Amino acid sequence: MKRSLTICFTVLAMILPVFAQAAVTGNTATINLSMSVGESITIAPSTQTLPAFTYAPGAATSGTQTFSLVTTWQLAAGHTAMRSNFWFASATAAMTNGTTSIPASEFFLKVNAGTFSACNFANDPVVTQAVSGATCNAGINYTLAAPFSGTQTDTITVQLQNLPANLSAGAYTGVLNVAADAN
Amino acid sequence: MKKLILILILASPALAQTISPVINECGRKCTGQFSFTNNGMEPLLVTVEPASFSIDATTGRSIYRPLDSTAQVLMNETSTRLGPREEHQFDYSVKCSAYPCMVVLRTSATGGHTDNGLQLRFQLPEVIYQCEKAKHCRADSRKALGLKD
Repeated sequence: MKRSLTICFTVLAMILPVFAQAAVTGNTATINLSMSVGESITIAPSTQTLPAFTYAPGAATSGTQTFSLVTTWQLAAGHTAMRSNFWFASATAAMTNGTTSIPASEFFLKVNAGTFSACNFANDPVVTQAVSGATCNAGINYTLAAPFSGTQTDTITVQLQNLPANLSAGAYTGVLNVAADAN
Repeated sequence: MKKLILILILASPALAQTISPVINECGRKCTGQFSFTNNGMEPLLVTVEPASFSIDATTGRSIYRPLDSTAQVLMNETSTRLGPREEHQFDYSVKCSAYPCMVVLRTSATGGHTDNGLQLRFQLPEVIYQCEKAKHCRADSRKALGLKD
């Protein structure tokens, strides 16, 4: 009898926790997830500098130089426009050798398969304080549509045209500004 | 493993710069920060210039102008040199006496130097809208200019 009771208590002791566990009603655990993706614009040019144009003495036109521009944007909904443009800080000296300057009107630029146009246009709205007559007439418009993120690769070709035959010798340098804008 | 490292190096852009965030909406107290990242492998000289702007209601394009006399921008620094793969944070505060106030911090980067040729200078915008209240400031500012949002 004593032995039977011991066995009974042992069995009960083993079973009770199982029932006790079964009786517990567990809540469904939830983990809140969030991720914040900030707006960003990235521009990746193929180069930060362009080598000297090839030029034959007395020629009116130089050789061309080309660089690519990969623009990547990740914006929030609601943006209506995004674009880039090119300009020089001076209309009279896009490039200079220290004594002689090549004006912006002789610097031509085209985007992709577009046609060359001189960089002597009036201020572009994107460009603050740019000197009138030093803005290129060949900007890049990006297509903004949901999901307002994307990437675009453009090829920019530049060339000097309408150069005077008596262009003085020397190493010509200049700074071409490239601005992206979104508001 | 060596091949993987080589692929990663080749896959990474040699030259690239990122600005983030692009937009900040502020109330009367307007402080913020933005990061400028040199994703490339060449050092960059970065400068920041503040300007005021409005938006062309037809094209949606920004029309920049010198900073209005009613706006004041304070920055912890206006230029820095970024090494390869370096990210830098610029802190700013904007005080305007008239709302809505629209300010852009034009952040320009140049790298490399040439004694014979062209240097390229790239500019990215950090746009700040300041109103009485931060909520819907951008949308309200744009509506005031005749834009949809």
